[in-house]
Amino acid sequence: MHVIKLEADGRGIDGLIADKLRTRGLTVTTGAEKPATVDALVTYKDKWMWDITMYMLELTITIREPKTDFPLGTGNSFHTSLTRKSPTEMVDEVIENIFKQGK
Amino acid sequence: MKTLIQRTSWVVASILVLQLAGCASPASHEGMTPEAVAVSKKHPYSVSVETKGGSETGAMDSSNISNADLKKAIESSIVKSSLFKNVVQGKNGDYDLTVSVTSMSKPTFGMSFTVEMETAWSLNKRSDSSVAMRKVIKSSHTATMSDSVVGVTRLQLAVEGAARANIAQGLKAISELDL
Repeated sequence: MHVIKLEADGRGIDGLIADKLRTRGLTVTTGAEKPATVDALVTYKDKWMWDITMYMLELTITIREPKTDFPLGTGNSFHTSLTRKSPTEMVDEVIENIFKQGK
Repeated sequence: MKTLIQRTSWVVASILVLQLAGCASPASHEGMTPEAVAVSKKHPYSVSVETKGGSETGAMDSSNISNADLKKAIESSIVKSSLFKNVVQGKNGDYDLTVSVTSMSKPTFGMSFTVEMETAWSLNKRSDSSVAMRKVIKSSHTATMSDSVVGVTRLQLAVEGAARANIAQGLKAISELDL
């Protein structure tokens, strides 16, 4: 698998996603470029808000077919300030949800 | 006494207006149905439509697209454009069309609201389960202050516009297939 790093991502969300996937026994790389040979691509969109401190409001992760970009699985997590979670927890939640769908 | 009643009425009316203006409405199937879809070919088959990935609009939520409304909008568009001979319910069609909303980016505040939407369209032939089309469709729509000064309505219009464009692109892609 390869996690495509967003250009604007200065928080290393791609690394968190890759680490989480590695805990499931997968071989994962990250980077802005699309590698030629890979079984699946992982893309993500994160949305941040300010409330005393910055927090991640929403995270969407999509696993795609490398040739066509067709989504094979997608997951989303949305938490407002009152139920805010750390980026690591958000990544955990989304990845777990994606793999639950596949079962 | 009359002034007090008038003032109270104004306060109650103002609260009602504020509440109505503050509640988000879901994207409607009418709003998501394109006026006209330019189809290059019409297919003499029946189709069933399934939608996934949509979500209901909660009381404190912003405008979302429900699976039921997206399904209705796609079905209406197919009927209007005569892309397929007819639309059937359940798994009784010659083809199964599945549309999944994979992402929708909505702004939180601003003057112009641009919504970006991505869907995955999959068309399968029922008789042999072959894949006729698998395509990612990306669309966006911007609603401005001239569309509506009320923020929640402006966002709803942007969501509906993005869905309209998405459906039009998806159906156009299907019309270009040799089924």
